[in-house]
Amino acid sequence: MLTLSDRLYRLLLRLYPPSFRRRFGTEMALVFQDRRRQEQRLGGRRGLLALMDANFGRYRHDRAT
Amino acid sequence: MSRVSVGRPENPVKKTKPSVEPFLPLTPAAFQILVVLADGERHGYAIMREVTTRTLGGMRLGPGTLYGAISRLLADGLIEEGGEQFDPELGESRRRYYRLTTLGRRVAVAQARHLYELVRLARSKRLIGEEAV
Repeated sequence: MLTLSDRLYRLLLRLYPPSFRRRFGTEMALVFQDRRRQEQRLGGRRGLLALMDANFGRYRHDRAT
Repeated sequence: MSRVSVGRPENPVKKTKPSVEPFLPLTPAAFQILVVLADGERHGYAIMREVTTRTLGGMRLGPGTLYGAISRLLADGLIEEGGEQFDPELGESRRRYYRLTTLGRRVAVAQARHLYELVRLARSKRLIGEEAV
């Protein structure tokens, strides 16, 4: 079952270039879900927020270099 | 009467291995992914989990960093896609698996050797090891 954070992450995936999203978007959403479940099992919300974070900044940085 | 061919022996085409140098140095994330895949094929979440475990939590790859690195490694021919399979631990969705190519293994070995030499140098300068303060 998708949680609010899963849905939010899927929305954020739209920030990636379309070709990258088509190729990896489904996998990234699944990995996010897996990680979110793990973070919930461990009982932390901080980890969840960190997970949503800077992936985008890092990705843009990697693409730019 | 049979004829015997006495032509020049076939000149075998010498295949040269592509150089690993253009791929070095790897980013820390790319190197960690290759190290994980040295044990066999893995899907994205398994790679992420193993990197966290192996680095004692020092490196936690988010999906964006993970797949940014995977995208580059695929484009460079250092890893390749395996098939899609179910992971019984993770439920109903099929996972795409990735594995190391021969070139990817050679690049990982070259990077590991380079790091090993750096560590030896640091030891000789007493920057690490029991002598380090």
